[in-house]
Amino acid sequence: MLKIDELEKCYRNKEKRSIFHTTKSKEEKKALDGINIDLKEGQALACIGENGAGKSTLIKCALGILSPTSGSVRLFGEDPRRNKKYCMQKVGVVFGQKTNLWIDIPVIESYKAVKQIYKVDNDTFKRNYEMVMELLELKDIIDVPARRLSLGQRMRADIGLVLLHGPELLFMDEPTLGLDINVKYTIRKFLRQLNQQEKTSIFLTSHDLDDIDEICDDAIVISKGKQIYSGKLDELKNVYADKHIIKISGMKTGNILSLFPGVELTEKENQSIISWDKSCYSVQDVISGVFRMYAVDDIEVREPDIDEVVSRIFTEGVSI
Amino acid sequence: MKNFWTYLKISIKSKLYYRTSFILNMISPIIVLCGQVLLWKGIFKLNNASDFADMSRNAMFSYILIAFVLNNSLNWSTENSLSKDIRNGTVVSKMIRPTTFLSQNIADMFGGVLIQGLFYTLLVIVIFFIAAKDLFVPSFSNLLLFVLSAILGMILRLMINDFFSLLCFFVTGYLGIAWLKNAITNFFSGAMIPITLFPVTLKSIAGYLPFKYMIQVPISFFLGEYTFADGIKTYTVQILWILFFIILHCLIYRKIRINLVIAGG
Amino acid sequence: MIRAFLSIKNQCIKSEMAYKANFYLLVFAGIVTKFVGLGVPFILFEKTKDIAGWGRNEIYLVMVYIIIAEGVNSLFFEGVWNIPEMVFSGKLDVLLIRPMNPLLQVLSYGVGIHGLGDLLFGIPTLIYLHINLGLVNAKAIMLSFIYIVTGTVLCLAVYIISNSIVFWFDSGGKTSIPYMIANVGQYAKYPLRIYPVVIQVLLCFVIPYAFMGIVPAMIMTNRISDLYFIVVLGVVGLFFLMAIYIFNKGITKYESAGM
Repeated sequence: MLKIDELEKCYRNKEKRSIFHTTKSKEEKKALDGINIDLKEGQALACIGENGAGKSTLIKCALGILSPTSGSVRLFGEDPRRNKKYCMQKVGVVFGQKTNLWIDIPVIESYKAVKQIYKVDNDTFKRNYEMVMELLELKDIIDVPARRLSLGQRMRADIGLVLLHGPELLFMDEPTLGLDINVKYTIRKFLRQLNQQEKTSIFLTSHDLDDIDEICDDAIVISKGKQIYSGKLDELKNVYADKHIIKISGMKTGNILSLFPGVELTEKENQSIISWDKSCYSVQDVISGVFRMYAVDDIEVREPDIDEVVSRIFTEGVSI
Repeated sequence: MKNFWTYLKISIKSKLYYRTSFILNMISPIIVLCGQVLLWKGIFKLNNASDFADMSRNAMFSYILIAFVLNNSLNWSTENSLSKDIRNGTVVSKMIRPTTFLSQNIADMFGGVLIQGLFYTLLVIVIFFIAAKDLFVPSFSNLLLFVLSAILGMILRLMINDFFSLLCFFVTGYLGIAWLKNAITNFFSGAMIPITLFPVTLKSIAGYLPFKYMIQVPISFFLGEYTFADGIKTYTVQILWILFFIILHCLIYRKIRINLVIAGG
Repeated sequence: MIRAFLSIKNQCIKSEMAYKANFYLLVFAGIVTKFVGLGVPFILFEKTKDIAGWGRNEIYLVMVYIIIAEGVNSLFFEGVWNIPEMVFSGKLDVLLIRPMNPLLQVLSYGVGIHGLGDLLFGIPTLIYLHINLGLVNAKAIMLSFIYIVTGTVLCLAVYIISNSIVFWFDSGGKTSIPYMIANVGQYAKYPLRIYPVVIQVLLCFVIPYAFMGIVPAMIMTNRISDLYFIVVLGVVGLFFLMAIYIFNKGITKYESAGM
């Protein structure tokens, strides 16, 4: 569906001057440096990266609305810049910060406009429309002008809009930015369903790593324009999630460090968190040690979640 | 008062930040000025007259130049920044601050006035030196009278602008009000064509309105048509109009605060 | 394509009409602004018999062609003024993703209700002028109608070109070049002879407001031969093609630089 080879994109920074001081800077910034992607049908790919890593640039290049400096992009086998109409007919894009809706007219009218622009036949439109209405709970907001919607409502309406023409590939750039937990849940469930039942491919960028966990199976990591990981999401977690974590509520009766030197111990009032390298000690050993050193009220064994995985990647760099 | 200076500084800084657009915005009225000058030159040349309905050629050109400075000290974006804020809802932040709403608005507009007014004044002064023989040059006392009248006229202009902007609280869009304000103000202030040239009926209508004090009246001092005695009369009327609009502002503002409705979402 | 354009346009009009007070205010403001615009020559003609051989009603004719052209543009193509904002905020991306010509999309979104005011004022005035100037034959009426169309197209072309300049000049979101250019048009409402040659050339071929108002009026009042009609068509067609070309070039630039 989407094949990207050795994609590079360089920007040249223009001179910027203000009326009081002159600072000349003509740098070349490499926004993307050698990205490779092969997205197949029914695949849900997450794109993880820090702010400014190049994720939005990548999406724009994939869509053909930004020209790469070198490398190739093939969307459904075509160059999206050459064969725009064909490619755009089959994709849907949700930009987190910019809305697809026409802002002063009711949502339903934006939907109707989309039907005409994408030349969707009546049956398909009706089917998609009802699916979207039900699953995204749009009944209350369908007649409201986009201007008056809250962020969560607008995002749901946006996602609905994008699916009306039945795209095969969905790009989402930070779709859950600023949304509350209920809306996020609705959207995640919906996207998961879409991917599994309709086999719609998804390319998702998000800072909310729970989104990624819920929706995607595959991931690429981009940092400073370079692609530093590409593969399964679980593998990523395994490689980086090489620590065990135990959370304990209870009074301390002894020093756990005497039994297991080298573990990290964080203490806060009545709670302690112990984390250690998997290769050093086994979970059973540490747990029995804990019961000897603490009057345990409550105990919890956790895997590091993807937030920690990702922040470790960014601080330590990659070595796979 | 210290707050006033702070707001003023912020207003000026934000306008100066983008150099290119700042320069372009300044040039735009100059082009319009050129058009006006050419138009009148053409009219005088083709009609082979040295005056046009009691205004001498030199007086007319001086009129155009001074009207230019007075009319363009406030540009479209400054004029309508308050209206736009009201439409966006961002005006709320202004209403919460511990300074009066009125002084914030005035400071904001004044920032624009200082920059543009200063620039255009210098420009016009230079033109006067260069083309002195084609223009009516006032005597020193006339100039002083003019300056006082112009300053009062500028304050009046800011107050009128504020008044129209406040009306945006009651309507859903700001463009209609902005255009209406522009059309009426430009015409009846004498910016488009001197009021002295108006036919009788229009002239008397213009006489009752406050707009003429923004441009026509100050220029009358400049051209020596008004004397000090006239000055006393017109300054008083100008001040009265200013007070009128201040009171109007307070009344409207109070009504607004009671019925506040701001676009949500 | 056109259906999508019309449907969006229709919706924009409906949503403007939902705010009744504002709607009427805009129509009124449109009428007043143009009315006042006509006030200047009105006053001038009180004091002088003619300007460069043009009588009062003839000058009005020039102005009314421009008023109607601007009116139609405001009503149907107001979206063109959104181009700078879309470029700076990146909203243009949203348009580029749809399988519909971005220029059509841009033009479809936005309605200037004051245009309705312009038309309500302009069309009756045109009819009045026709009667007053003795242009009551079929040929004159047809020609007038064609000049309205060419004027509209030319006006649109000028607006597209001037708003497309933002693709090349990044001035931080606040640019008044388009308005500046539109302002120059004000001076095309007077006989060209008034201006020095340089300006005449400017108004004819660089920012061709002359072909919107004064040249058609010159033809209508028999100051120049009817054959100039072909020149009008030619200039209008040329500028329209140029406008589309420049806009597309701008999009290409946008896509290579991103914003």
